[in-house]
Formats: sequence, structure tokens, C-alpha cells
Amino acid sequence: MIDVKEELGERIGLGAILSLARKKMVPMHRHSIWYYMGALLLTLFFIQIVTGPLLLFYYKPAAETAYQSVAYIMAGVPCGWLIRSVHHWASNLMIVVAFVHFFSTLLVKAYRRPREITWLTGMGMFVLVLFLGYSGYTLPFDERAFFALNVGTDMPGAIPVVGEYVLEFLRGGPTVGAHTLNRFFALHVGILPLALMAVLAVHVLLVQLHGMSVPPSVEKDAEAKKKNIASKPMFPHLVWHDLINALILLGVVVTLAVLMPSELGSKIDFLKPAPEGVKPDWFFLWVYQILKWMPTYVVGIEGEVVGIVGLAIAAAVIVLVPFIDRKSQLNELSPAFTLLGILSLAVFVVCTVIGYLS
Amino acid sequence: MGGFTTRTFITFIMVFMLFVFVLSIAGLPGAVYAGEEAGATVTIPSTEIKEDEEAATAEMSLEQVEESRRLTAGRVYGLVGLWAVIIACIFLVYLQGRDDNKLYQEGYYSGDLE
Amino acid sequence: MRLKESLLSRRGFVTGLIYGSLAFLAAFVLNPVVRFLFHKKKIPLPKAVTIARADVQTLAPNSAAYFKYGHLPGVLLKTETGELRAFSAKCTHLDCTVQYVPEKKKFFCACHDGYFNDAGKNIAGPPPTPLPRFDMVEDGDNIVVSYAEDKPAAKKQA
Repeated sequence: MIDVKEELGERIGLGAILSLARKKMVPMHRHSIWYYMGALLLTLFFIQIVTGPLLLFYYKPAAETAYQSVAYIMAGVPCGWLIRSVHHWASNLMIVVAFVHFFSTLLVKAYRRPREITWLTGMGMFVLVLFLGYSGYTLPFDERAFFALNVGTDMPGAIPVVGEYVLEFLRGGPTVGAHTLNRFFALHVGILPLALMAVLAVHVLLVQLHGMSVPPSVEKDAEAKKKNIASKPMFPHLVWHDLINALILLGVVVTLAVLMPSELGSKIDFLKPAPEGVKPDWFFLWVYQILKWMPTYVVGIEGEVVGIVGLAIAAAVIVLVPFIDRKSQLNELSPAFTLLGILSLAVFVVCTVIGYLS
Repeated sequence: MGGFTTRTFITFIMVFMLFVFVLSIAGLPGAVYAGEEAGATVTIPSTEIKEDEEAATAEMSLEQVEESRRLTAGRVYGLVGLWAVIIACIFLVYLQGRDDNKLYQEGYYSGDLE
Repeated sequence: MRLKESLLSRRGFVTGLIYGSLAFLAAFVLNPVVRFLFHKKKIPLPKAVTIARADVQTLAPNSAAYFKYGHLPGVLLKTETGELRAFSAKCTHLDCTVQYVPEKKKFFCACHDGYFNDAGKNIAGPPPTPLPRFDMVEDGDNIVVSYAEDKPAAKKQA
């Protein structure tokens, strides 16, 4: 009898991989639940990589044909509505889990030494995922997509100095049209996924290299009680656990897709005015709300510019948090930055809710 | 001429000649396609006689899209079936995990791999 | 005869069940994916196509012209005696479009050197069957060309 595992293992170096894998231990403590977020994101990304190319079989990426091709996917292709809805819901969930993953790593200080590059690659992926979500819902080129394209590409135009160039690059010209759709298609289908996969590879490798980070509060507790932090082996315990999480996540995505399938707005009419209450997708509502609150002029500068630059500065602070939070670098408790993290989370949640309800 | 020796120069000439050779070969397939071109083609316009139903199925309407979004009994059964399979898988994996835990405590996973 | 020990351990049984149920789940999930991928969009051929008589009259004897029959290329041949014949221009070997060579009075397929005579019969090279013949009916100023895919090649008409 051929032992398949042994024969295959000899050819792909399974023995070396397994002996490395067996060494991986995962600390178990009151904040361990956040460790699962990464695997959830990977599951969702995998769902996107499967459903995306499937949709690509029928989607026609030109301004004249995009809308009809999406309508055909929904009504003409068997299970087309399901594939499209799964793709849509998995993308929404991916952004939700990305926010959870981001805020949880910010609050448990997983960015401290030596994990700064893991943090930076994570922030890079966060931006890529948000951009992927945004570019995705412009592709059906329906009314909603058209307004999203107009507003979304208009905002970077407010950046001082380079704004105009960024706007024209995103739009493929001064106005939104067929050329804009082409660009967003190229971004969504090719450039952004490739960039995401490249950064993801680095991020995952670094996580394996450094192991899981333990929050300073838990470390201090363990020191005080003179006890070791309990840990479980990754293989086989947590692999099974991740598998169960992935299965539940798959069930949730499909359930959402079946009970609330994706919509298709009406066809674009260039001469129609923007309908009342047109809003961006939920993950940009916080930006929309903050900009809405900006007065028309602040110290002589346009309110919108102040808002965007202000948000950019806040984002830069968050991205550079590992280098600013001195206390965490020394593995000490850092309540100031915990407060900053909680404040950011509160602002995000409150602005999103207000933006949704108003 | 310390860095740029005769050897470097000869290598450069060889690479350049190879490059020119490859370029000239790359043009050859064009000769095959360009050889026997079809004569100027004459085309006559033709008009299709379409049946009414064919014209109607040309585009998908918004009503058809809305209809594809409706929840049908078949979809509910599929969903229930999916969850049944998922829960069965989870239960089996949980049993295996419990067994693995026992094995781990007996030291099964700690030894070196042969 | 009872065995002292089971040939399959309890663990082996559960492992087998796990892989089996994961495979079942995979099949469950792949079903809609496969149906999605193997969908064929039906593009029916038109029942008939009209060609203006005036366009046909400008054709020289012993020459051919192409016309569209839905998504099929068609070729209209005017023989030396002025007789009109319409064929599908798709080579029956591997679907390349054939061309009429007046000097040889044959249809030639450049892809693999296939030849059909001026009645559409495959006479040389790889094509296995003759060129399908279209039916032609005169209707006033037009000629109505029709093609029923399931019917065998019809009799020729002027």
C-alpha cells in the first residue's frame, strides 16, 4: 500500500513544514478571541477570489454593456444572483472584520516591537480593502455607481497641490464617463487584488515569524501572579478551531446572500440630478458625516479641504502609532493610547450611525 | 581600462548579435501570414427576419432582475441543507478536536517527526 | 467469526467522516458554481434573411460575395451561367471561413488546405462533410435565404 502522505510529503518537504508548524503555540488569555480575526479575513478573501473571477465570466466592462451584463448575471445565468450576492456580502463582511481586526490590534497594542512592519502592511491592506470595496460597487454602472464615482473621485480633488492630478488619474479625464469605468475595472479586477496578495504574503509571513503578540496588560498580570501564560498548540487544536470559524462564516455569508440579495439600481441617465439623500456606502459614512459637519469656510480655507486634510493627518497619526507610542515599545501599559484607540472607535461608530440615520 | 576588459567587449558583441538575430527571426512568421492573402472580399448587406419573441428576449429588464432576487422555497431548502451539512461538519471536527486534545496530553504531538 | 479488534479505529472512523462531510459540503457549494459556469447563452439563428436583388445583380458571373446570416457567415455564389447558390461559408473541418477561387471554380479553406466544389461538396483536404446549402426563394425585389439547422441540405433553387 502506498502511503500517500509520505510519498507526497517527501516531494514537497512536508516533514520540514510540519516540524516547524508543530512548534507554533498560541497564547490563551482573555483577549485571545481577537487572534481569530486574521483567519476570518483570509476566509473572506478566499471567497472573493473564487466568486470574483466567476462573475468575470459574464461581466462586460464597457460603459454601454456593463449594466446589461450585470442584469444578465442576476436574471439570466443560473445561480448568478447567488454568486453576485455572495461576492457583495463577503466584501461587506470583509470590511467589517477588517475594522474589527484594525481596532482590536490597535487596542491590544499588537503593533509594538518587533511587529511594526506587520502593522504597516496591515494598514496598507486596510486601505486596499476599502478601495476594493468602493471600486467594486461602481462596476455595475447603475445610478448609484455613477454618483459614487462622481463624489468619490471629487473628494481627492480637494487635496491641496496634487488634488487635480489625483482626480484626473482616477477619472481618466476631467469628468466621469466610460474611461472612468475602464480604470475602476482595471483597479478592482487586476491591480488592487495583486497588490493585496503581495502585501498579504508579507503580513502572513511576518505573523508566523513573530508569533502572536500578548497584550501588555496580560503580560503584567502574569508577571504579578508569577504564572506562565497558558498556550495551545496551533496544530491541531487551533487549525480545527479556525476551520469551524470558516465554516460558520461561509454559512453566514450564504445566508445573507440568499435572504438579502444584491440590488441593481436603475440605468444611468447623465442628465438626471443627484437624488435626495444620496450617500456613500456604509464604510465611508463616517467620512461623509465629518465632512458634512465642516463649516463652509474655516479660516479662509474651504471647509472640505480642512476636513480632508484633517482626516489625513489623523490617519497618519494612527498609521505611525507604533513609532509614537513610546510606552508600548518598552512593554509598559499605555493608557493614553488605549484612550486614543477607544476614541477613534467611538468616533467611527457614532459618525457611521449618524450618517446612516440622517 | 580596468573594468571594461576585452572579455566584456566580446560578451557585449555576442549578446548584441544574438539580439539582432532574434529580432530578425521574430519577423519571419509575418512572412507566413502575409504570403497568401485572400482576395478583396465583396459583402452584400442582408436583413434578418426576426420573430417577435426573439426581439423581446434581447435585454434583461429590471422586473426580471427583481424577480431573481425573490426568496423561493427552493432557496430556503438549500439554505437549511447547507446549515445542516455545516453543523454536521462542525460536530465531527469538535469530536476530533476532543480526541486530539487527549492525544496531545499523552504527548502524541510533542515528539520529533522521524 | 468475530474479530478481537476492529480493523478501523474509532479515530480513523471519525477522520473519514470529517473528510467525507467536508467533501459533501464542497460538492454542495460547487453545485451552483458549476451550473453558473456551464450556462450557455442561446443565440438562435434567424429563420430567414433577405438580400436585395439589386445587390445580387451587380455580382459578376463566376464570383462570390459574403453575407451575414445571424452569426453565421454565408457565401452567395453566382456561377458562369448566372445561377445563384448560397452556402454557409464556415468550413466543415474546423470553422474557418472559406473563400471562392474563380480560376479553379472551387471553394478553398486556407486554414488546412480544404477544397469544396462549386456545389459545396467536399472534394479535397480534411473537411469531412459538404458546405451546408441555404434555401433561396424569390420574393419580389428580394431573395429570401433560409437555413434550417436540423434539416439536411435542401435542393438547389434558382
